[in-house]
Amino acid sequence: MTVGENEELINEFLVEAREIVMDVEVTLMNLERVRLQEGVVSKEQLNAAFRGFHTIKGVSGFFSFERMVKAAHEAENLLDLLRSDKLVLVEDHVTVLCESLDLLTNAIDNLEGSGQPGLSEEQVSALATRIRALATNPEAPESAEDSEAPAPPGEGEPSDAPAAEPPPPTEAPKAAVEAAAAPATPAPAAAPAAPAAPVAAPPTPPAAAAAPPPKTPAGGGGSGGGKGGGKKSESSSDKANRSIRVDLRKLDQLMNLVGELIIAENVITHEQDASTSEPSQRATQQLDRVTRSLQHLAMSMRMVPIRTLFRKMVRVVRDVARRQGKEVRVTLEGEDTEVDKTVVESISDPLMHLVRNAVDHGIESPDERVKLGKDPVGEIVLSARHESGEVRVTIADNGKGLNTERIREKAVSKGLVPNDAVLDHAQICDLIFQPGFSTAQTVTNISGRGVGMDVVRRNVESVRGRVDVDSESGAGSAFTLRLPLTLAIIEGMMMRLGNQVFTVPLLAIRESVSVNEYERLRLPSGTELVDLRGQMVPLLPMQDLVPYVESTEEEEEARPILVVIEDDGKRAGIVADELIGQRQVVIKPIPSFLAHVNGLTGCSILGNGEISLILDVKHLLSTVQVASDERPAQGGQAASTPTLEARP
Amino acid sequence: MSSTSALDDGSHEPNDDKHLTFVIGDELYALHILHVTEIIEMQTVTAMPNAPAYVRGIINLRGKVIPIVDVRLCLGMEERPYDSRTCIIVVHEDAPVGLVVDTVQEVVDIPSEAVRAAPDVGGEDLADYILGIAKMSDNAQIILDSRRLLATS
Repeated sequence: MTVGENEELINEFLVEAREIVMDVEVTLMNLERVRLQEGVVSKEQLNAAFRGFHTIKGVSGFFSFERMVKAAHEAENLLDLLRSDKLVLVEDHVTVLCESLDLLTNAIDNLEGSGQPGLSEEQVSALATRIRALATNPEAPESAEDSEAPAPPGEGEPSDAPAAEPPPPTEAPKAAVEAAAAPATPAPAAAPAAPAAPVAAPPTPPAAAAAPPPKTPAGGGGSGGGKGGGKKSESSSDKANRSIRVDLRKLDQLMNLVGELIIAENVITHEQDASTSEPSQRATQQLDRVTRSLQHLAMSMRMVPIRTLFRKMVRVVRDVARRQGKEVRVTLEGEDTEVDKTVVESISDPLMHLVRNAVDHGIESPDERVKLGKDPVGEIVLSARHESGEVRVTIADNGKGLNTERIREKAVSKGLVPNDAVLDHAQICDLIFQPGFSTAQTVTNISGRGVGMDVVRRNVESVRGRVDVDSESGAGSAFTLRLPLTLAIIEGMMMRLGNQVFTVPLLAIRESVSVNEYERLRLPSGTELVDLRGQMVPLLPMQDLVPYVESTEEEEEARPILVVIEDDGKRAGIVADELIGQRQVVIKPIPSFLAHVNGLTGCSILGNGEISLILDVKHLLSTVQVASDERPAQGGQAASTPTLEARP
Repeated sequence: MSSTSALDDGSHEPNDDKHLTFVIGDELYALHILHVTEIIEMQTVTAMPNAPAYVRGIINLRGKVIPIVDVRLCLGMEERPYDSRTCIIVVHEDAPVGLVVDTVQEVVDIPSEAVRAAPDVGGEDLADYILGIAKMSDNAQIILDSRRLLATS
């Protein structure tokens, strides 16, 4: 085997091993959840976890990564005891199995980096010792040897990846039949059943695979019946067959090219008129359709289910809860919700931080919970859903909620708000995201790497998302991340101001009204306000948006449309000459030479080749808002600037 | 004159000495040809809010968004309305940038020995952008450093 081939094989192994480790971790979490809730230990899931370790062991052996083999082997032994009822699953078992997974993950990371697993003998032996200590059953060591012995003959040869993969349920009977019909070439799918058959007598599910007719569904259930387990193993074998890995950069390039194509296509469609020949018109329509399909396809290629990220969190919750002697149940909702890959990556850290916080600061200790009349087991719900063109990810706990009194005190002592500031509940909760609001006092080794909530907010905002908190004292908190579906395209409203076209993200527009529905007033300070049905809304100064265009006051006054933009309860008005319409626009970044220019999130190229600037609503509102933010800080109501707290 | 590649001009011998000359006001300026990607006619420029005055805005150059800088304003000269002779020289420093000049003249050889260091003009920022001054035939040319022009401005 050449070096290149070997490398390729190892890469394949790494991808597969990662998937397996993740699946096994999920399985273990499920096991524990079911055990805690229903008091039963699922045989299928034990089997699934066993097979996972077994596969890793087999393939690691193929590459002679002896320490990985050993780590997997020890875990496998423990699971074997558990699944053959020689040992009853307790929490420590799950912990030590998770440790084996961590060790393997470590090795996988190292292999990816340096090409060597990089595990030390001590690490592996320490793990082995811990595992053996837990296998307290006197028969344990012996039976571990037992189960080791039959394994090689049955599965030794085809021990590379596909062989050990559990058979998808529907194929189980076929495989069994094939095995029977052609005994000379044992079908790999039937292999896992082989060693189990002699050992475990009647009820063990894998044995059923050997006896096709009546029990097959049950036998297949060994992999197919488990809630997550079966479906997963099936889909992962599907995945292996039907997907290829593509460099993310290539997808980015593809998206860029599609963006350019859309622009070019827009120009062509624009040029069509009555004089265009019919075939050409038809071709243009076709071009339009194809381009749009292509755009959707390119976008969908970047979308991944949020599942992987959520499952990582289950483990995080468990680890933190254990270390603190808390009991926490995690419920996942909407795991299949698809989100842009880049978005998923950028919210991984913030989400981890929020989840840790929820366990660390949110959920009370079991004793405390009982005293409060709550279920001793705390609950964290992680949910994701698509809503009004964005993805919302919520982390909700039923713990003690934010202590608004303390937050307020702390904010005052840090000088973030004046002593006499009048703040409502939402405003106080929002203080925890303030840059100066250090969580130093509360940051433990658990609550993250010293990352404050302001970093969480910044990270989320860097992908044009936002994070909000809702909390009720004593009943828990809910953090909601609102994220864009994709970073490359936004739904925008285009409007003309003077000779330029601007795009405003559709989500930021509250309403647009025609001129006779509002009145303009000018304050002595120069700030302009509009009276919109009794509410005063500040106007963004025109010259800030369109420099070099001198417009007389009459022209200014004559602008017929008021577009009210809103973000986070703050509002402001933009007067426009014309609303052009709503469109999906491909965002292009502002050239880096001008990256320091505020108030824009990017630009897009219009059908006629002109550029439309995309307004950064959040920033624009913050410039208008300065006055009212400073007002309490100056300690009085003196400021002449209007109350911009245009909360509904 | 749209999209004339300056590099097509002339033979294939090394471009070491080749400079593109252009006019701003009454003076003749030069940029080393290596920095120049193309010369395009004046375009509709989308103004940028909150940008410094010398930045006229951005244009769409065949799908690429590039910033446009008015060299007149960069050099602290008076603004002047654009006309049919106004050109954009696209230079590529770290990223493409368009420089607005009054008129583009020609590509000439300026041997390095013809270049004299810029005189100290007494605390003027101008000296920062000037690589040197070349005396060719009967008129002097001020050789600009496009990188520093863009960096300092």
